[in-house]
Amino acid sequence: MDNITEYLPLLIPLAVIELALLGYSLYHIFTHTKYKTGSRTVWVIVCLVLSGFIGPILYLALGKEDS
Amino acid sequence: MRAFSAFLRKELTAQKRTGKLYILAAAAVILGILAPATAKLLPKLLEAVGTEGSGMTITLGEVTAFSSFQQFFGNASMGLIAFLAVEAGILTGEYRSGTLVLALTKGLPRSKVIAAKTLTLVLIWSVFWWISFGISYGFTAFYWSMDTVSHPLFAGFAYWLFGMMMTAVILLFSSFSKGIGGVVGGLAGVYFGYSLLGMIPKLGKYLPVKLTAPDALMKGSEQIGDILPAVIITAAATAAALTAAYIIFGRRSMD
Amino acid sequence: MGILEISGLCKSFGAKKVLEGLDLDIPEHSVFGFIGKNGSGKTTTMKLILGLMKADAGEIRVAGERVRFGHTDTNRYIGYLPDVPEFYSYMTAAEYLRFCGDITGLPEADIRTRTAELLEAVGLAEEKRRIKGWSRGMKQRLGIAQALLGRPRLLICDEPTSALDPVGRHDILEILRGAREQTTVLFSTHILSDIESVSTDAAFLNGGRIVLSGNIAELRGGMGEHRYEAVFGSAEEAAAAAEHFGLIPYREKLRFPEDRVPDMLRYLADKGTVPLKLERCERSLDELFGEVISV
Repeated sequence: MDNITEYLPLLIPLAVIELALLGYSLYHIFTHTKYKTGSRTVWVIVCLVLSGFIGPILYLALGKEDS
Repeated sequence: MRAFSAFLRKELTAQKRTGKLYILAAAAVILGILAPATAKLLPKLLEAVGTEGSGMTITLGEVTAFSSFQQFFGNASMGLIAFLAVEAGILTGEYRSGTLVLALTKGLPRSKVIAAKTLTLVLIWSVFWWISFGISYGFTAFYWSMDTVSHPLFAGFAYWLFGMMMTAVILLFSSFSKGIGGVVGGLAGVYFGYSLLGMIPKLGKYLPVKLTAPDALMKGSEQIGDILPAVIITAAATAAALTAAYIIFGRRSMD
Repeated sequence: MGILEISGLCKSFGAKKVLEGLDLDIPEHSVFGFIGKNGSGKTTTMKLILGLMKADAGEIRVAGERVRFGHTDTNRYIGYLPDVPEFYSYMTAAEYLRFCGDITGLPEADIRTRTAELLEAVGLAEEKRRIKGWSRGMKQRLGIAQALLGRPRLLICDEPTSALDPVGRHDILEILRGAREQTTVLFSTHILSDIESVSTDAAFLNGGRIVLSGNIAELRGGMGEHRYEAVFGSAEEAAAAAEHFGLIPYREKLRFPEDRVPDMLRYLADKGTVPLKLERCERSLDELFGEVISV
């Protein structure tokens, strides 16, 4: 990695959003007991294993109760 | 007009307060950054792995703006799926809960319900797609010369149009399905139906799925004229699906 | 002309006939109870009135205008409260009523005053939270508020009390009773005491038809045949009296019409028979319902 600063414009927003999504999803999972589909265990595993952004988005789209 | 704008406003409030808007905004930004990031970083990573030890060398084509866009359109289906998954229940959710019946019994015409839902989805898909495309375009132009890629904007437009057709499919299947299951099934069915048809060699260039694979166009081996038939057919299919949704919804029994 | 006129209404789901020629005429400013067993077609009838389902045959007129399936024009005269009202849970009550006012096309100033007025009337004025998480009873109250918002000429309530506790139920019935001044109320129920406490009129639905309808007082009075009842000391005495009048006794009881009362008194005096009881009978709706559905 010759010059890390060259990559920062890409990496910083990506990391920020991914962490925010993951954090929010986990927070939501643990503060709710009812989900549209699936269970708490399933969603925690999905969010952590597919933690890039697919897991949290799957949870928010398919697991999170509409309010 | 006032009833329509009230219902539209309600739709947009719903998108905001149920968090759908934020989920999709995050997904759009990630999707936009991911492609140039992958294009930029992957060769470096492979290089690092390759040069250590074994003496194995990995040869990669030179990374260009084309690779970045290729990556973007490769990932785009994930974005489209996220959008469809989040929004598939936009109409069927209201049958299930019974909220729609109350609005209809207040004298809100059914046509306005369909129109407001359509406009909401069109707005959200458009903003989602063009934010994502715009971010990707911006980073790509920042890191590489754009000479290596032809017609990226038209490629972006074509994929957007494909998304519009899938949006119309949501509405079409919502107009007669009782629940979200019918809509998701319909979306999958339409996608696989087109993919199967695409296996017939002569038919491929006329099908909407053609719009999701713009590599040849961006490489310059195909021209805009070559994908125009698919563009026209997709636009026609979108209009047909929306018209059918409008008619079927107007006649459906609300029980 | 009634606010709601239904004639020859038929509806079946597949092979199952739910309504077979239902006729109904609802006078303005009545509180009209619509009674029937579960599954007798009460909800179906209401959905047909609202144009939500397509009738197989028959005609429905609201305020003289014909209801057309799939069209919502006649709904502007109607306020509707479904059995389990559901609202957009991400809105507050005030936001929801504003939304309703906008889609109904109420004048701006009217929405504001009506919202405040109605939320006060149903006891939700202090409730500022979003609807998500509200109890059934609170939703039922908001349901009434939204139904009354546009000052409808006809208020249709589907089983408004069925899932409420006794207090909630009493409150809802009081609100319906009060609504009579401004509107006509049609409400369905399978609980007869609801009808007895608030209705002015009632119709019994059975086998897809209205088997009996009319003013509550008249219904209770019956057709004039069984209005008085004498209870004798023994079945023999009752049988003797029955023979004299050409009636049929039931054990030691004998029922007779009002115009035979003087004859009966004379008969009792002549025979020196002292009945245990001689009274005018109030028939409960329960009894009446039992009679009409067993026919």
